[in-house]
Amino acid sequence: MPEMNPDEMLVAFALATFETALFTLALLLPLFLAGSLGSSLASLNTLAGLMVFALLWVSTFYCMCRAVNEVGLSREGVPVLLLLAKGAWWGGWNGVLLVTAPLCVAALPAALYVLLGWGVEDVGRLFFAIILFGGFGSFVAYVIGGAVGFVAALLTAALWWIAGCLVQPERLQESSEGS
Amino acid sequence: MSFLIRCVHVTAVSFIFGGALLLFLALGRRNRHLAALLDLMRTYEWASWAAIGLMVMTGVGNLGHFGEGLPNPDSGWGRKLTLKLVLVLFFLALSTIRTFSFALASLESPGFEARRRAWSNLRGLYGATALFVATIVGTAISLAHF
Repeated sequence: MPEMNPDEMLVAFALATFETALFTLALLLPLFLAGSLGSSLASLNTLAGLMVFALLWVSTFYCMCRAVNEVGLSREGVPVLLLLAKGAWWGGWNGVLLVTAPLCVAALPAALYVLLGWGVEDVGRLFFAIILFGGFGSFVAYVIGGAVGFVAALLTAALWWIAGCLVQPERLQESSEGS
Repeated sequence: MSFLIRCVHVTAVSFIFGGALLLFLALGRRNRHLAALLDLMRTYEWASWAAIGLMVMTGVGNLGHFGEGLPNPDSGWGRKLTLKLVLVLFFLALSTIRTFSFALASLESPGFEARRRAWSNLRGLYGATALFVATIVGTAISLAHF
């Protein structure tokens, strides 16, 4: 974890929770409106669902800490281009984390099971399949995560600007005088 | 398990509502202990985001409890649920603006203490948070009982 001041850490935590919740609702709402949410949730174990959400929350928080640390908080406003670039970059890595973390957790017991039941060569084949799937999956996850991160960074820039106008009303006056 | 999930959900929402109302009232008084209030606000911001995460996490769990029996989106219940989810989306945006405003205020501290208008806007955000949560709770009560 990078060294951050308490306010930067708070902003990272708020943004990570905001984006995790937003992402969850963005998946939930269209499924519900299409009438397929019930069957989708029925096929998901409650504990597994909670763990998936927790994993998404933790990995987003880690990536957000890195992004906020690299962009930096300033009362004068955030550099939007840097924010968008870091949003896309760390959004991509968040996608990779989400694919590789469950894969690593699943790989160990699977390897033990295969080692006990089949033999050493089959373990090699299993790991080859995991690396192949992990590599391709990571690439796809990076692209999707990057796109999601870019959109989330755009939204963050807009919300930061609104907050700035509320706490520093003179900023709104300056921008209206400038235009 | 479903009872535990519902308990966590209700506790989280109660905390968000109670904390925002308390800060709205505390910021309204001509208080000289602004540094202490900033500390209180920081604690609330951390805890409220943890509560929001738990609220969404357990909210999905609550819906999962219905399984295949989840009512149709065109039904009266379905329309209320859609309204509740849309309200939650707006609540998330409002909460983010509030936390950003607090972070900016904290960056400016102690110079910020002199700026009454900005304090008043911050107070308004805590009031809006309490009001928004009360509206969402009203929709939730309607979903559960009517």
